[in-house]
Amino acid sequence: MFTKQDYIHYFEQLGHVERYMLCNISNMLVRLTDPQIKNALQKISEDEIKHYAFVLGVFAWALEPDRVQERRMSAREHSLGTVGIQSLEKENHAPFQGYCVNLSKNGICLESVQTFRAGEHVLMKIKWYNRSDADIERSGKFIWAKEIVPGFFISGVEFDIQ
Amino acid sequence: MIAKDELLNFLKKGLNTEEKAIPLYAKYLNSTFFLSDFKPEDQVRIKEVLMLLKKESEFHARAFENLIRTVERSDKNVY
Repeated sequence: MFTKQDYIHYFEQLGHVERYMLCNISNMLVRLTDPQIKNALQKISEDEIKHYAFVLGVFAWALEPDRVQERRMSAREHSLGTVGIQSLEKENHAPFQGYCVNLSKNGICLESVQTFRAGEHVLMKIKWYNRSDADIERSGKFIWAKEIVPGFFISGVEFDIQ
Repeated sequence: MIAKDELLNFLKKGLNTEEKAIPLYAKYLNSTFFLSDFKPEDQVRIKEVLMLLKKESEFHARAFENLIRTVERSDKNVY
């Protein structure tokens, strides 16, 4: 039998796949100049955005309907983009790149191949794929992390008060 | 701009990702127990979503294959 956690884990994996495809294609589209290849990838990218919205939709109405109100209250947005992450505590720790999953005024949920322990203080540079507003730079601390597929983590970071 | 080799690597990686995603979408589609806790109408909606994701990933895999062929056959070195 399947538990609710099994369903959540399965759809988290699907969400990860869609975000991964979308972020990779978005990274490539900004560099490509060939119209034929660019158009073909743009169409795939539009489908991936739709797929990602479907997966988020399953979460919203079937898996975590009780969290919809919480999401509204924190004005969480599913904003996609890259996040450069640098430790503010360990000078010799190389910066690494993650992907934004969602964003609220209080913090960010991100995916990456590395993560930090809870409480680690970091600086993040966020570049958007699907938003017209300017890139942002914020500091914050890691609150939680979870491995959703082997070697890939989803983490919550709370912004420092500005 | 991007060099031909790098573009081909990216397209092959894209194909590989789509091919790995297809069995993930299809994993539980024929399972009697999967989604059995959900209301029948929700089960139908979720299975429709999974079917669509699977079908369009198959389409994307073919699109990546076509792009790989196009780039491999082309004399162009920068895209």
